[in-house]
Amino acid sequence: MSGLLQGLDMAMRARTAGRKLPRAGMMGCKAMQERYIRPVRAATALTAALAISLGAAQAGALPADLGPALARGYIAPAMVEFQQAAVSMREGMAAFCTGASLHAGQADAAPAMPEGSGKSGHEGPQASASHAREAPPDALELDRRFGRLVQAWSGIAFLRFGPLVDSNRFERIFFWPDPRGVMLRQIQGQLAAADKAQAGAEGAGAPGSILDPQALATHSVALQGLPALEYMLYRDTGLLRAGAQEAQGFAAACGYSRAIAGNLASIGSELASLWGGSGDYAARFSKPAGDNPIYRSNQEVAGEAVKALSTGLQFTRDIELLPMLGSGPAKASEKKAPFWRSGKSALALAASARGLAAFHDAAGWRYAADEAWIGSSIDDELTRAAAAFESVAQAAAAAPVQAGALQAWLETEEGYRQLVLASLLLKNAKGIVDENMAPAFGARIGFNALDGD
Amino acid sequence: MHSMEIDRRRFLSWLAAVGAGAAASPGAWAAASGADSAFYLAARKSPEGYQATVIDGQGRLQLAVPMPARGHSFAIDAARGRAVVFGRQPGFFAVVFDTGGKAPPRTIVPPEGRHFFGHGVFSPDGKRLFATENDYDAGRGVLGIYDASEAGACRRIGEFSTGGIGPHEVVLMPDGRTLCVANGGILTHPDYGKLTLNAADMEPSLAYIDMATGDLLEQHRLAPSLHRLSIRHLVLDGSGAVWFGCQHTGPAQEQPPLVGRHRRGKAPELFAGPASVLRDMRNYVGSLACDVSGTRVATSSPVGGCIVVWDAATGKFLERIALFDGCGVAPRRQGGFVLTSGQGEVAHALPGDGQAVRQFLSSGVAWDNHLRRV
Repeated sequence: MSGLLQGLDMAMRARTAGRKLPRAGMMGCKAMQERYIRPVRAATALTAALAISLGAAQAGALPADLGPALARGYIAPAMVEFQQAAVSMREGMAAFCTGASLHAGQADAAPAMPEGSGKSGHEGPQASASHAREAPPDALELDRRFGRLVQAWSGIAFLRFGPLVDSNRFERIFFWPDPRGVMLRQIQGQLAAADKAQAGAEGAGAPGSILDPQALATHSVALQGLPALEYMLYRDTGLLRAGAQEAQGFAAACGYSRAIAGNLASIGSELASLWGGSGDYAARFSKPAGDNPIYRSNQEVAGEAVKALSTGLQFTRDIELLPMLGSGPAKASEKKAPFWRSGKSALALAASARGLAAFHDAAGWRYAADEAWIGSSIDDELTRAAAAFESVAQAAAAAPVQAGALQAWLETEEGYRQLVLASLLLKNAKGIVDENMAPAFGARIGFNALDGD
Repeated sequence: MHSMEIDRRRFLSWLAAVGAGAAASPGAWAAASGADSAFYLAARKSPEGYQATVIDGQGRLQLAVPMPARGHSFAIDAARGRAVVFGRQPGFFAVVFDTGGKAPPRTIVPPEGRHFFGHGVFSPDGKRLFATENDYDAGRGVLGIYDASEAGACRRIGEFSTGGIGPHEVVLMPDGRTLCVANGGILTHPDYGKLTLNAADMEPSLAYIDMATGDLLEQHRLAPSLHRLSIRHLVLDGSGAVWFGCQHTGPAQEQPPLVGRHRRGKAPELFAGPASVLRDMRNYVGSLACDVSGTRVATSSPVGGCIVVWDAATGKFLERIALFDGCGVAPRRQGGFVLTSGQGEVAHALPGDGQAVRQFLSSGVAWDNHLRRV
């Protein structure tokens, strides 16, 4: 295993040798190796704000329209895509639950993958065709819609400021990680109750029940979001399994899943509206001013953007990726990754890397001539990381509706190696954002604030 | 929990590598301690690695004790000239050392299923050491109890519940037998670093615990609307009131007061200060200190790059001192405060001066969150 790492280490060095190498990048390789030995237990404060020192002197120039460029160029469209994916999921669930058939054309309106990533083949016709023999078409269609929703979420999950933090929206959409199994306990308790109630009363859930989207929004966040929906669809007795429609408890399970999709659609609609053309938060983000309660200057907007990139990279690597890698291929476990039940972990990670890259691009950062490598390196590392995740997704795509595919691939040397490589690329990207990009735009990150306590 | 095993192994190999007598340069201490000077404890990152240090008020190094990872704060047993530095959360080590460098350091490893949060306190007789810890599989806060007597070898002899999740700082009340704990309310698990796992249903509190029995004597929560305001750091003022500093984990546009005062038997009071100052604190207080007069309380915000001073009697804002990445704050012997920053700076802030006057700048050094006067 150390040979594998050494090989990667050398590959990284060789690849970066040709350009002005950032200090952090070089240190990163060594630190990574060490980090790799104990991928967990790291100090990771993703909720703490970074201290952004807004110094006057910097080499790069902040685009005057930074806020609008990010809001219109990336954030608003990404929020709309999440909303639409959630609406599509809600409609799909409704048809599935009432037995109405879905028209194949309905789902085609939505691109399955973000731009430039369509070559993964995960959602491609080949996989669909091979799968069609085992699962009813409606289940396959719901799987596609769920995949789109997971990807759309990955494209906004790192925008963890403003609307996504307000009203616990992040946790309501994505209560994860959940090391103590809170979600399972709560769902099982609620389902048993809902099942009983459903047996007595026909149709929609009783007032306050988890079967009603509005009421669900007032329940525990663990019951409301994507991990709960994934569990309902993909667990061993999940709705997408063969024979689910005839199984006991189908009505309650279906009603609850519809409510989750409805709840996600309404959170998505709030996000799209707050970030939309006439949205409150978009206005604040786009027009920094002395009397703006959140962003007093363009530099504060830049600080927010840099922080989103930095903590987004950290979350993707330290929380979503490293735990599943464990201390080596023999200890790797897909169950530590998000969306393992639906076999969409690699797809989600790829969409995160693509989203981060697109967010970085949308800003139009203007680097000074001798710092131009910073922007291109960040893009480069993220694009390569996304490609690595996509190739893992493709390799593991034999059975999209099943857990376990990634596990098998993880235990191979090649599969493991690809994910380790992706983790090194993400680490490098974060190093460049923190050590090079932030100072280039006068946003120095403090030691005590980077990882607050 | 194989990863904890790895941490232990790494820790033991680190111990073997640095040797037991790693405390450095006691000579300097001897020379300086004869002078009329005060000494301070601070953890830091330096070119030599992570260290717990003793420095004088000008920032000159007296002693450096190596640590396997980043440290946080200290329990101080001044009467016996020793202190304990705790690993930063999730901390899997603590080091007991002689502040004069006269005895080899001793290490403490928390038991399986627990990690340190970074703060602790000695009983006045030096026989017990209490450390805030995470019982992370159960998701509950505890005070680990260690036998700090000479024969005890810092063995862990039990634990008390803190009555909440995520206990951070603990201080000893003036009665010498009651502990006050800031239950930050943030659920974490070391598999995910410091990631908040319960943002939606946090319940921070201030808890008073009898150190002899573990009885929860008194507990206070802030208003329900402030459930994401994590109470984290504590200091006593001259009147014996507890001052607390908070970190708001909710949206940035919400700017609740971050500083409060509590007197036993009453409700906690919160002090916002001027809106522009509150905004500058960026929803984050990293450390508190009370000056030698007992009448002025300083709260630092490394995120906002400032230290804000409050009148202990009235809760009125007194002054704001700018210091980028400034977090460590401790009373200066002749009045005002000594400050440290993550950028290697040691500075003084004299009362009413409104500025940090640099005393020392160590290149390549990052001072950690807390500065404690011995």
